[in-house]
Amino acid sequence: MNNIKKIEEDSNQKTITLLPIEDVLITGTIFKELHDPYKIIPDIPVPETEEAKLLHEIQGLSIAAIDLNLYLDVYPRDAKGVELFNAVNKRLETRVKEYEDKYGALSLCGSNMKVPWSWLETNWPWLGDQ
Amino acid sequence: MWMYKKYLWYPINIKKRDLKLAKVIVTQYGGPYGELGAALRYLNQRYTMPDDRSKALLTDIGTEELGHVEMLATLFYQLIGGASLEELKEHCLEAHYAQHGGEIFMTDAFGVPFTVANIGATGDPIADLAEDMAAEEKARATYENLMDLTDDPDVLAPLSYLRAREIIHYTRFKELYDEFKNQKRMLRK
Repeated sequence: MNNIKKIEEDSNQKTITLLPIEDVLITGTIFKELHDPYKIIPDIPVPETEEAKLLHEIQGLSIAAIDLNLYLDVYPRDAKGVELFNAVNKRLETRVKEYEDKYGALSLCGSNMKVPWSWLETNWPWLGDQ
Repeated sequence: MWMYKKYLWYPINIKKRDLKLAKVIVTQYGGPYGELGAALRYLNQRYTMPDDRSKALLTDIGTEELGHVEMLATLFYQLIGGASLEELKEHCLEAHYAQHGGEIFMTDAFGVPFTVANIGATGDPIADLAEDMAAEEKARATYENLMDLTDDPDVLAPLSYLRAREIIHYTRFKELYDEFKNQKRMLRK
């Protein structure tokens, strides 16, 4: 994934700078121009387990995906935006599959459920990294 | 329809119980500028939006907000998690305990239960999008107020994340609002 990509809006050719996907969990957005923090926030602690690390990566990719999703809702003809959305989603799918193969289901969309029922094997989100 | 994903938008791992903070953070769960109101507002305003883009934007932001409701529930739950009866009493949470035991509940910071009475749905896309922009700004301001009230990095980081999302949502709503407003002006000429 390129660190910085430019998307041209079909309407006024405004260029948009994107932040590296790796930073999106910290910034909460992939759009550099919209990154405007209120306070400097201490770095989120580095995950202690492989599982938490993978989940953080999934969360970062999910945020990048929703951010591009909302952008494309408003600018549906932006080809570069669609291309990037597909790339992010492909990466997300790979990571989710990797996670689910190891730790259990994150959704009921997959077809690799096991016995005991994989849906119960993953942590409940509100309990935090356990 | 909706499907559930079994992970939060942003990791929340609070190590230090803080009942005082829980009592104010709850407003972003069930208060007037909170996430539950946001989710219901957008998902309820979709039906009369004039084009596919606005229908999509309200659906997708409304859906994202449902995940933020879960984040606020998690913040509240982890902040009061495992508190003793003594601790609850110390922070005047007897009323909460009497009605909800150890469960969480949607109220504002004053304990007033969640209400949809203040959610707008006019059927006018310009009026509704203007309300949505205001809702995002009010939520952003509330997150900043909450960030002023804590120095726990485990709480600040998710609050900062949620605040960042308000800015994105505001921007997208405004882009459509400006366009619809312009179109209306052109039609009148």
